[in-house]
Amino acid sequence: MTRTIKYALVAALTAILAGCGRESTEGAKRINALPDIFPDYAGVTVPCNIAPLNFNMAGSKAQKIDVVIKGAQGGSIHSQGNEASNIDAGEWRDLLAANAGSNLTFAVSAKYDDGWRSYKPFEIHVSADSIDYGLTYRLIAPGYEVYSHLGIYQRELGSYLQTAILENTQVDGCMNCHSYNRCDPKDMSLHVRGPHGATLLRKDGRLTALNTATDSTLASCVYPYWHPNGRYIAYSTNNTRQVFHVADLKRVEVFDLASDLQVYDTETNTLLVPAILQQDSVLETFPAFSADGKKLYFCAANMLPNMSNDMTKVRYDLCSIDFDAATGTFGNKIDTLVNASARGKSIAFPRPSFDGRYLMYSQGDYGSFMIWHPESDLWLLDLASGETRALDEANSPGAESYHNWSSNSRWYVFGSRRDDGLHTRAYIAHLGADGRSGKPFLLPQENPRRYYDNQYRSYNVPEFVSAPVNLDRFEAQKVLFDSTRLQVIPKILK
Amino acid sequence: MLSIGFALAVYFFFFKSYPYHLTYHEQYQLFQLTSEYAVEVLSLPGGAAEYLSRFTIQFFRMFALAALWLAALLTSVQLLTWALMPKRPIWSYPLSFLPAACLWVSMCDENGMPTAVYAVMLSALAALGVGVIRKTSLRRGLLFLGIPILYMACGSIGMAVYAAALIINGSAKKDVSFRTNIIVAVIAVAVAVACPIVASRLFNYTLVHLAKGLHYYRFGAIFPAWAWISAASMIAVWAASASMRPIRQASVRYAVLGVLGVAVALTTYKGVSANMDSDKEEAFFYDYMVRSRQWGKLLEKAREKHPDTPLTVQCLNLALAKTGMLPDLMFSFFQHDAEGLISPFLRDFTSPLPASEALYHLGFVNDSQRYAFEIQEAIPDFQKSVRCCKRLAETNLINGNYEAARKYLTTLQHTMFYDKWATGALALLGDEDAINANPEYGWLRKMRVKDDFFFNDQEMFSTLGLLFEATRANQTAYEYLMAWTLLRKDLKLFYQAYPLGKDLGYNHIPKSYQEALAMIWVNENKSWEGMPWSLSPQVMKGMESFLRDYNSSVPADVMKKRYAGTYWVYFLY
Repeated sequence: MTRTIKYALVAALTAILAGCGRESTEGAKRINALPDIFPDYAGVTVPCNIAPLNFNMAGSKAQKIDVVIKGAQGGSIHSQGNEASNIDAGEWRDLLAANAGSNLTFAVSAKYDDGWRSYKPFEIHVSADSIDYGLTYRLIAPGYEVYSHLGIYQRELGSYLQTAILENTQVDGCMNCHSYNRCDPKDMSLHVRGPHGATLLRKDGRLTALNTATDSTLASCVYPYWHPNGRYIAYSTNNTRQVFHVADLKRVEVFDLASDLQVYDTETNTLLVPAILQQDSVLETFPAFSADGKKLYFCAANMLPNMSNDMTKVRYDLCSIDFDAATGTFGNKIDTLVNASARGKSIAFPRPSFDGRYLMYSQGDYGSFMIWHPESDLWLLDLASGETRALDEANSPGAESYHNWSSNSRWYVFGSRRDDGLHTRAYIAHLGADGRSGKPFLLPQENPRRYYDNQYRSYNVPEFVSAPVNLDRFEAQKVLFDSTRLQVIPKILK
Repeated sequence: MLSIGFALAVYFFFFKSYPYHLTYHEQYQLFQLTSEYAVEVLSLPGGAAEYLSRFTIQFFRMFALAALWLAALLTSVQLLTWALMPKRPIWSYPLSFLPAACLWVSMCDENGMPTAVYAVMLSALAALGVGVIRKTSLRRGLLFLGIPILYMACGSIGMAVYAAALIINGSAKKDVSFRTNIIVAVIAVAVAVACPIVASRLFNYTLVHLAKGLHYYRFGAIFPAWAWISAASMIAVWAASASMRPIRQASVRYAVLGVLGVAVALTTYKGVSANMDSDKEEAFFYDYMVRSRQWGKLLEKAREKHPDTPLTVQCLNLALAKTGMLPDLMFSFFQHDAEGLISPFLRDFTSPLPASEALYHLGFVNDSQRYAFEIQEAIPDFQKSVRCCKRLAETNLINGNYEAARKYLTTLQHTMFYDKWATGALALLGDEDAINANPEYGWLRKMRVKDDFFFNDQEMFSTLGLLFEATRANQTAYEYLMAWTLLRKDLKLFYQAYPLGKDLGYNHIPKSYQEALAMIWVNENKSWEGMPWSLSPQVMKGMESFLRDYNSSVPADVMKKRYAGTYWVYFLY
């Protein structure tokens, strides 16, 4: 009892001290403009289970930030911080829950040398659509050929907690192409290059190191996409090169000299190699199964005689081919869904929403490696009507690239270089039932300015996950360090 | 006296013989005075020693201070070794130098990090502090408690030194039974073994890496042998001293002291001289001169001894170009091939440095940026490079990528020695007039290629040619283009490119060009009559003489001596 009283006293004292520590903004100079904040959260739509949207005043001259957040359906938070807005996580959670489907109003004041200034309030919309547990991504410096510290990480979206799934401090080599089946991390595929190179496959709880390079294919399998039934994984094999611009703001061009598509059957350890997707005159890449698993979407471009010189003329269209999961066979006709090349444009990363309604892709002027193309934007194809449009609500003058859907297909995450033109950051946006997108928001951090200033690595291949990716890194190490690889068996389909 | 002598030897070694190994270290880190940086470094095993090491390395650009610092550190290791010897007969004093000498040897390797020195020093200091506690149970408790703490602070070497110091000194006390000592030692060893195992569950590193130490050597895959030999020698000296017996006769004492002193001094001398690498020191000198743009000092050294590695020759050629002497004097020095101008990129953090500098001074801003980025990414211990960060800020500033430049500059503002420069550069961001008026950035902006093409280090003739064609005012580009043709012994391309320089304002045809032109002329003409170029009489006379000797089969050695410094020797021998 005595102890309880003691704790209560300490808690009360702490609360009083915290209250006393908060400066009054009374008499603040009123500024008739929205506050210039980083990240720009004004007008964004957020899920009802996202971490607090802390922000900083743009520039570094503000000494304090004071924020009063009021919900249209009740509740309010008052927070104050020296650098960031310092929103209390518990209060934020309650406020979001009380205002799901409604708006929050942020009244921001900031203290400068000449005293407090208060700005015009801004609103954000809290969607009743929840978001998945977390996000996984690779963090890697936006370099050329050499890589330093990198890894695959997961981030809880309801908090700021980031943990490593696998880093190159544990397994020497580059790693990427992490992929899950419709956001479910139970089964996953991950590719590791270097001395312990393999395609790491987790299926039904078992971890296997595959050798996906065969005599019948170009190279090891990359760009995975799971079939919704969990049995198949579509991959591309690419013979990739890089060249470097001398003058252009685009620094690097990554292009394929050849590329093909294959589908791996996890049950029979067979790599289905359909001849129709191995055409010498065509570059096929970025496979993705439709939501019902009956089609395989991909990008295709005509090969040019001198790829190194003509790479800026290579333009990919969005195509599809039928796939029969029961027999593991493909249709004999390739459909062109979006003929981007005819408009002088090129398509990359087709990603159908899991509800089968839309397909999102990146579109640039040429090529397939859109992260280095500032003109690259996100586009949305309505699979019912066949209409396609630029996602202007989300696009920016910087490169918009890799994207994927949440499991409920209401949220999409994408990589964007809008902040400094070099480092890719993860942005998340809402897509309403009417097909309109909300304004995207930068992945929240406790102190965004500090975090992103110190973050020299790019968010690469962001993917939603519905639960933590419990990859046993010791098991992964053991499997990768063991030189044994399960050789996939190619099966040529005429 | 011996300690002072040792300190002086270390000081003069690093100040006079090995200073550029220190600047080599300095460029491969980006120490920031921020809490985030401190937490990032301190949160890994060995973090405190690593943090102090990185803090120290910031000062390695000041040769005298850096040498003094290292001398003080190594001498303190020696004094701590002595202080922790359970028995300290004066004749055994030289033995206390062995661990410090091993650390000195470890520092002769450019990838041996001062972290090991700090780890040994801090852990010995901790052991000394705990060792003076009289209460056995408390001392023993602190031994067990201190092992994981020292593991986190100083890494596995620190933990081993600390535990060994306390166990050996504890067992030397007569009030504790042999059995108790064994039990204490077994428990301590068990705790020590457990530390990296537990760490492997907490940190994303392999057990092997955590056991051998994360920070003692720049390459994680390589065992930091000398750092461990130092720790082992320290433990061996303590163990040996525990069983030392007094020598009664003064003359014998002094004789043993003398013999041991000479033996340790000779061993140290042998160890240091066998492990120091003068070639690398020379390479690092050239690289530092380029980095600090001390062209005159570089050329002075080159005249004393011609540089002869791709790295040093690239530095020399850049210095010659920056001082306007490349076309006149390049063949007065050793030249091997066109890689002495700009070597193709290798996935390495050292060899591309001079090429990165040359690309920058030539006006290949994007490619200089690429090299700087890749060099930084290639640093094996995943640190960032203050030198590369600065270059990345500069190239982004020149290219008008102000937000990317701001990011690098903001980071540099958190450093001790680059903050003022960064603040000055930050003021330039977005100020087009100020950037254009800046002698360096403005010039590089003017020289930039407008019509984009892809950089091709396999076809430098067209790459350099396109750069020069962009403005026709880039003399360095022209001279590199001409030098490339000469080094490739491609007189056809030389002849083709030579007229491009007619508007560059040369008051004479540079010597190497004259020699090449003379070769081209005499190859097709029997007299100098009708020659369109105003070659100097000396060159024409020299050419005639060279041809005469050459046709008379004068031995190559004689020809090389007689016509040293001419293009003809390079071309034909």
